[in-house]
Amino acid sequence: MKKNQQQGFTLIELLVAAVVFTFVVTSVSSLFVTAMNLQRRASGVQKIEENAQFALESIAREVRVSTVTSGDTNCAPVDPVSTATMSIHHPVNGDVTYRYDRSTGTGILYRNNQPITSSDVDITAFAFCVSGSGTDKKQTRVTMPMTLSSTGGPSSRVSVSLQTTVSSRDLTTDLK
Amino acid sequence: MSRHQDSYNRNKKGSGFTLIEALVALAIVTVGLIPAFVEATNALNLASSIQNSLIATHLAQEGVEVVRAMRDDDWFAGAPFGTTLDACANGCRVQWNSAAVLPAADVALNRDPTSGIFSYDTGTATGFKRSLTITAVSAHERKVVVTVTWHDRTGAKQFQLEDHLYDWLK
Repeated sequence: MKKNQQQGFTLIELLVAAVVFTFVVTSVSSLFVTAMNLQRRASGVQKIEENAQFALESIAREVRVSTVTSGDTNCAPVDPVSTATMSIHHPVNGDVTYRYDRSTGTGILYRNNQPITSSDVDITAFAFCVSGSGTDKKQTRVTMPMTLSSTGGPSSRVSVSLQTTVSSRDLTTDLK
Repeated sequence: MSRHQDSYNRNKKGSGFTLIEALVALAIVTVGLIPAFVEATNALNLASSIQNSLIATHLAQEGVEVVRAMRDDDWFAGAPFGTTLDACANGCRVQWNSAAVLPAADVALNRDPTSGIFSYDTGTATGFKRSLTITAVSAHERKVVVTVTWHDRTGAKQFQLEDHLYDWLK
């Protein structure tokens, strides 16, 4: 008999409790998903930053003291290419060839066929825009426009486009 | 009735939570979530800040390298040091293929969607503005200051790079 006197929850109470619970769980989980995506974006940007910095800096370092042996390239708008190369002659390291290749699906930069960027980052566009190479009374400039994309789902993928130019310090070619 | 039974019944009778209690509980949960929101926003701002700084530093480096190439071009042409550079004493702009400095203007660099080239030619505006000033420190030294400005979520940003070029070819 005593058992019957004990009160349970009414239907209304149950519904209200369920609504409140659902509201809290929904907001917390959507916050969690958002935070996860932001975290992925942040680490994607970091990977892009590391790879772009390393590749451009090491190419620039070598080009500055080298003679660019490949001829001028026309950098007017062209159809996207999947490979691009640039050859230089370094006073100590000898002949060096840089190559951009996206034929495997992921765009990677190579120095003498050794990759210098990670496969975690897809270089979706790259070009070596060489001007002033050879004996033309113009200092050699190499302009490198580059677009990098992090790998991952569409909501967390980041794409960064940047460009830099490096000019050779070599005076011997044009100062004759 | 045992003492235990008594307290058990009393608890049962004092129904569920009151509205105030429920509200207080919700308020505590909300306050607990605020730092998580703040952290998520910070992560987003930081990621976009790193991204823009990366672009800006490379654009600034390009400015310095182009000016250095102009100095060398003057040498090759047999022109006196500063012939091309001194046109920028009161500010100017340059782009990747400039043979001479461009007049100063408050315009953003464009990016050609096909070639990916940043220049003042055709393309969509990037929001990055680059200005240069080349001042004569002496007859044989020029100070190059490249300033790249842009706006991000937290306001106006700026990156400045300074280089000194010398007339050492004698």
